[in-house]
Amino acid sequence: MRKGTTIICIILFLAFSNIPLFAVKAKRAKEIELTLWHSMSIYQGGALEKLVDEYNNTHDDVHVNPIFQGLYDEMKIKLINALKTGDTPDIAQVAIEYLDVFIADEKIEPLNDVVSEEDKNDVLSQFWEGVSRNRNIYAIPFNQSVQVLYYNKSAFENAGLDPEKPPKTWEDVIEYGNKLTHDINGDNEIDQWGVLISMEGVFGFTPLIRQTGGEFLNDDRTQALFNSEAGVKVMKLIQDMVYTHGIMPSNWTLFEGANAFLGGKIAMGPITCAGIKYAEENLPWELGIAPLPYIENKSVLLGGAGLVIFAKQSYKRKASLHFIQWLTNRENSIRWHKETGYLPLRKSALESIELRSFHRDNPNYKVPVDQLPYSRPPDFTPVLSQIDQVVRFAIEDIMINKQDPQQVLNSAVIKVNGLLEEEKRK
Amino acid sequence: MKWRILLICTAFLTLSYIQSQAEDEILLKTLLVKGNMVTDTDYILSYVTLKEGKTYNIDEIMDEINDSRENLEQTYLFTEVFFNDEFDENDNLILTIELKEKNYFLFGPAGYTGYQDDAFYFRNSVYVSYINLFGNSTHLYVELPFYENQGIVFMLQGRLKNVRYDFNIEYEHISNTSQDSVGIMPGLAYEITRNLFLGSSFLVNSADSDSFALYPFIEAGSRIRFPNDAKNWYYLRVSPYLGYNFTGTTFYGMEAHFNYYHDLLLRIIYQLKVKGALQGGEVPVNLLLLSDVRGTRFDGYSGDKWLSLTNEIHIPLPWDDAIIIVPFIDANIIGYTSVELLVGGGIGFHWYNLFQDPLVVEIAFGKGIMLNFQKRF
Repeated sequence: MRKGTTIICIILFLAFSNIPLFAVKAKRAKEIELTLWHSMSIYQGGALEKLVDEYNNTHDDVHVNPIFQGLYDEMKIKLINALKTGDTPDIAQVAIEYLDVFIADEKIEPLNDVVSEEDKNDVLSQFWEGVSRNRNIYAIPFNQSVQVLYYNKSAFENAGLDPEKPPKTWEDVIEYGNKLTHDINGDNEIDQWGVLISMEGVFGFTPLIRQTGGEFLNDDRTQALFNSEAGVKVMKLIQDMVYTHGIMPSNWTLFEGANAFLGGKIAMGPITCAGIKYAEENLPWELGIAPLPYIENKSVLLGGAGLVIFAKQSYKRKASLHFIQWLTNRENSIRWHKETGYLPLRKSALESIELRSFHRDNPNYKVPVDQLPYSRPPDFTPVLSQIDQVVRFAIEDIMINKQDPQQVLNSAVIKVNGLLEEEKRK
Repeated sequence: MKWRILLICTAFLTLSYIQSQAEDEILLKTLLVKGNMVTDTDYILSYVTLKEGKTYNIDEIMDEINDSRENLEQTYLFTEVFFNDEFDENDNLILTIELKEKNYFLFGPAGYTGYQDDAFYFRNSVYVSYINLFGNSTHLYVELPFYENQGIVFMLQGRLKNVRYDFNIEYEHISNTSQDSVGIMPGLAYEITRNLFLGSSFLVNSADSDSFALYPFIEAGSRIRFPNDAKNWYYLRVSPYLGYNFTGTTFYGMEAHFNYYHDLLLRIIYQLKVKGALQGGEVPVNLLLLSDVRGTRFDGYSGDKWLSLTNEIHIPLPWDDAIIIVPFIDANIIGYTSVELLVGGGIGFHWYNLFQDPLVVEIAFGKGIMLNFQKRF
């Protein structure tokens, strides 16, 4: 019987061994090896690696090795260090706001001549704006995102609110927040907060100032403008949500806020669209996605990263470009959007029947796409990280220490102007 | 005069409307299928509701694409279904369905090893399965025991449009009693609406007596999560049966399975499986109800009344969701005139890899200790 068993197993194995599972691609001796440093952690990292695997399996001459190098901040530091030792990757995913660090030091070259006219016309202009400085393209747009309002439809229903009518303005958010903030067990502690705006420094503050008609920095990046009437109005609005209306906790970090949202302790909050897929599949309650509420006019901040070619040899630069073009083509742009929630990059993708039919069945994914006409990248400067730190401290003083917004913003502007002046002198 | 003007205006508006409708209509000139290395193109197209040569407006096309995509995803044969559109010089639509097929060939260990009442017992086997035989999702499964008993489990299952068919053969030679048992069970089921089947199986059985039996059944729901973001899903099967022994006696009974799945948070899934059965008459020995509490010999307890509860929590590892930790608690009430309560529990590791579906390793504690190596159906 045992002998018979073995024979049957071998016959079955041979009979079915012509299947794709065993079609392992032999590595060619002349294959070009490319290293891709990326910042996509667990969930999106899986989607990226799936695409890279497919590229490797369908292209004989090039093999791409993706390596996770931490989130954007960590990636920036690792790249700066790698540039010092000359041990740079061939391709790196760089946050659009950190491109200036490498451009200022002339560590990356413009790609204007190698990007095809077709790509220039097909990729949306907002995305090119994010990776271009002085009309020079320094990266190929890849993972692009905007903030949207995530909300808990189940909490809306429990509070007697229509889950299909999310708030449109921040005033609406306050009204809804009053109904959604509850001390459920009567212990004088809030068990469900109406809203959490994490106000991540520059990136949380900028779109709200723009919604109020203000700007964060001036056009030539020599002066901070966020202590204007618009900036003060935004900060007062946020402060009021905490202390006047009592619908938002004052001192939660982004991490605490995210956990609270997962656990159903926060009913609404602006979060990047890059988490839609993850949230839809992992939250135990029904997720609603709405456009980012506005104050006076609509504006959202365009964030994300581009792919920068650091390779020096021309054959590697050519191979890198080929890979990036493949990764960002119409089909893969749609797949990336569907697998993560990041924005589709191309007009041709937005017009495709595949994407339109996907949005018909998955309306949450359409919300960030509809915000594209009023999306803008942040005010770029090589010292944006340092400015971000100043703004984060200022927001803490307003939110946690309950200080006067005008005074806090005035002193923050002095510090930021100092940073801008120092940068200009370089 | 006024009437004439009104008539002309109406005719003009009607013509404008007809013209605008015609402009919005798209001819689906060509429908192509790409990426199917194993699955038959005609089989794929049988799930696609769009028809070549037909005219649609854009909303209709999107609806049909979504219906077709859902149909194809529900075959569980593809990891990706993508509809790529192009337009020819006359603005006619060329639609290409781009598919990525799953791995179809799977093999691995099955069965269990246990220790109870100061003795070891074994029931181990290997299985081979192929889930897209003939390119039409037909599933072939063969299991070969390699402990003291000998035999074979053969299962073939497939579907043609709304009709699902299956054919099972189970042969076992029990060494210590030199007894053979053979069961041959073909079955047919019709899908009334999505995930609602009505069907019947017919059993020809030979064990301590020769017999046949009819098992009509109704099945609703699915054991598989669909769509991928579903928060709750369930599976139900109810099957009464009536059998005749060639010795002139009869047997009868009723079986019911209910599985409920609930997404707790972060893809942590709670599973509750409830199985119940009642039997009467002269039941052949190989069809008796047996306990299924992990950690206790499955053939150690039998009865004509049986209620089984299985509780599992599936917790994917945060850094590798291919590995799932599964703590479980099982309970049975089983017996004849008096019933016994059996309880067991333990922990399992499920590894979804290329070669198995998935590899399940469990350690369970009940009346004894049991180590399971399983293929999960």
